[in-house]
Amino acid sequence: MREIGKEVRRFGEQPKGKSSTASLHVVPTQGKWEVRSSSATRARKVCDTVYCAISYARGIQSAKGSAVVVHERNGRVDYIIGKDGRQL
Amino acid sequence: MEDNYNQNVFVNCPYDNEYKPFQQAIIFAVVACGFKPQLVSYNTNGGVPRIEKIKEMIDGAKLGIHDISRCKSTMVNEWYRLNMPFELGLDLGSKHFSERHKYKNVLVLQAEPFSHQPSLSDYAGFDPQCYEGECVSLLTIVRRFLYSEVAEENRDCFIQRGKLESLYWDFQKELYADFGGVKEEIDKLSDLEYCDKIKHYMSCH
Repeated sequence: MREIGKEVRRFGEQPKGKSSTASLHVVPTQGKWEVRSSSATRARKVCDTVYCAISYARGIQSAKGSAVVVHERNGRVDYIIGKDGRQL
Repeated sequence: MEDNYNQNVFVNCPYDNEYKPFQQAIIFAVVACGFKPQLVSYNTNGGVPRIEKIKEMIDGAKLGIHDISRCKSTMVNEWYRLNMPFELGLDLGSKHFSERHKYKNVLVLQAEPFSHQPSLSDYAGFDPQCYEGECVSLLTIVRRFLYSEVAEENRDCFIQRGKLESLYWDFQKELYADFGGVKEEIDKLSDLEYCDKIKHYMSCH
């Protein structure tokens, strides 16, 4: 049951009245791992290992407060690291 | 269907859970590039034989995307799959034997290079595109194929490769959040539902 007064957000829509924070995506590409901001069309950094890529993304995350989204090779989300560093 | 002939893209790919993310990436790329994916699974009418649905899709689409990755079995006693090469044959046949379809264009995909050769030797000389089992490559290949179908004067507005990828990563994040991180639930989405979600997402971005 929906709570009265609670904002109902449809799939894909940005929350009303809130500026969106771009997520950081850690993406496997040709044997390497790219760190990309969702608002950018190019990689911020290319790493040899996923650990290096996540570590780099976490560094930006702590400054900007954005979520780090780690993807599988097939494109699906493997897991998300929230602003507080916990895996979602 | 005739009205959308030039925009319709017949998608012929394996229907299994392991392949599902790649199928969904193809659908996403097709929609994001402004084309209309056509999958046999869209037609749930049990009163029509499957081959009739396939023929209807092939007849109504100028473009075809065929993934023949499953031509090779991966385990002992596993059968390799012949549906995809069969449907590719129908699509290619329509181009060669019908005046109406002579400008048809097909993209043939495979996960590993040259994996089709032992089982499809008559297909030698063609140029299947290999995506190495990686979603990023798949998005790029599908986009490149569709780009070549756009009139030269409209290519400036065609979605950029980096933009397509960024939208896809964000879409996957939305999907993950929408289903509470339960990947099995995402797999249960029907192809039509998935396509509708992409369309809605694209309308918001």
